Amino acid sequence: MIEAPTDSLSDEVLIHLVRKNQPGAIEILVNRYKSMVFNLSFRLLGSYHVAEEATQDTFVKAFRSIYSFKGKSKFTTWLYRICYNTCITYKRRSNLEIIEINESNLQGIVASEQVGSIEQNDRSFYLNKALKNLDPEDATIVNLFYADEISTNEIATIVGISEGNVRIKLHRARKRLKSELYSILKDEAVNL
Amino acid sequence: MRTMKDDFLHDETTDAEFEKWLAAQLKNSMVTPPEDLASKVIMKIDMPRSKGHIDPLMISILVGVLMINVGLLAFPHIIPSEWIQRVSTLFMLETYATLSSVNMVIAAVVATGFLFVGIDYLLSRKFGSNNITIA
Repeated sequence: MIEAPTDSLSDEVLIHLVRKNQPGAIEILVNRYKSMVFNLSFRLLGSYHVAEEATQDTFVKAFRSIYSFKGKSKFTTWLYRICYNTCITYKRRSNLEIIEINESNLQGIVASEQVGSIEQNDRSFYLNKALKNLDPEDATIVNLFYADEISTNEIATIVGISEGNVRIKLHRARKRLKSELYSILKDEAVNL
Repeated sequence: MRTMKDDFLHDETTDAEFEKWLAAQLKNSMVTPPEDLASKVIMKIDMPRSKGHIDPLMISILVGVLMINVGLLAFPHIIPSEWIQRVSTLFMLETYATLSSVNMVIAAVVATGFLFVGIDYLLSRKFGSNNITIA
């Protein structure tokens, strides 16, 4: 007998149910991981609507090729890898003019999200602006490591490079991000 | 009110502090995905792949024309030559030879028709059929 999918079920059981064509299991998995996939897409693509499309594509690709998931890595690692590849394809396809995170767009979203105070919006805006200037791979590594607290070993699987390389890139990306933030804020201060 | 400019431009931040700050900021600036994302994904997955589409009316017309075409070719074997002459005159054609060449033209048109039906089928299979309603 096929078990009815519920929120309490593990990823492995839900994947088994997806393979048995249970749409309820797909819904639970999407709701469980939509935030992490969407936020990575949003940070890499810079546009709310494009990120939504990329997130949908990521899940569609994942569920259509669910039989190729062997369970050697965690489901989230596999999903992140698909998301990362989808975002890179989106970027290449459109040459990413849409990455332009203009002030009104980003601040509008942040404001609508009620993330917090004006200072928080200010911080999010400048941080995203600085992240935009990083290489997509570096930005992914920074996001996965700091926002999602994913280990360097898993990041290596997601991005498709060695763990040592992830550490080096993370160190460089952090330094670059810091200097980007300094230069952006200095420019802003001069313009005041 | 302490802003990010104050954090960065007036204070020297160490690497460890910056790491802590970065993690906090990235977590705090998470964007909420659309509510209906799951239903959109399910809709996309459930959407059946197009099996291709052939217009039955077009097939009927082409088969009809083809039958007339074959019929015309069979004329000399079924109908006496005087009748053929009469048919030729009916279509204002001088000889059966002209009738035969007209027949070839019809055959070419039918072949082109089938070619278009085939292309339409392949394209509808690839991109899905479009039911355009002209009001």
